[in-house]
Amino acid sequence: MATFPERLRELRTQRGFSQQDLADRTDQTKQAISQYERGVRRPDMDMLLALCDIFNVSLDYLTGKEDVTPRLVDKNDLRVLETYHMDKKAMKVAQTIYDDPNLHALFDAARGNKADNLRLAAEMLKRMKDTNNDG
Amino acid sequence: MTDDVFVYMVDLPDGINEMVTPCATGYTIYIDDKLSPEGRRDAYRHALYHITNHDFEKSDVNSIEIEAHKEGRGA
Repeated sequence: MATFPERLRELRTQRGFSQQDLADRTDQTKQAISQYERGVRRPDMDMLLALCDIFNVSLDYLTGKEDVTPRLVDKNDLRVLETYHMDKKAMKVAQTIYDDPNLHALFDAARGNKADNLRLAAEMLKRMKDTNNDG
Repeated sequence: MTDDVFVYMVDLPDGINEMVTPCATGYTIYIDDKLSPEGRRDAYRHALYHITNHDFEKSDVNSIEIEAHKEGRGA
């Protein structure tokens, strides 16, 4: 039976995540992920549930209480596990712009784009929309 | 009834090839005028893909962009 640290490392590497990738997805530091994997620190329940969501496994599997193989994910699921924007802040900004009913915009932006560039584009879009509405 | 698609060439921030947004009668596409002709064409195709794929009726931008960028549908 695997322990939580072993299971965490196994799932992370299976998904092709670095410790930094997982830290970015969970609002943790890379050091915290490393400590979880070495067993020198234990995550709280919120963190455990977040990891279950990210890896698409049960809490029992994540914590090593069961060895049942997690359900196999298909290609569509794996795409959801990826992130388009490499910068986590840029991803959040892109989602915020999309969710804003006054903007509701999508971008063709480079994956490595910075959040500031997306914010700048959103400001431009807002001004152009305001201009069109005034006209 | 078909949607109108308005296309504007504008100077967009670095790394942003185009942006597309719904408007009153359809959609407006803003394409970076610094792009090459091929780059503009690709950006236009990317915007059209978002429109024809009904991406504005979805919710998760990450999934939308991963889908839109696979198989060379954009940058």
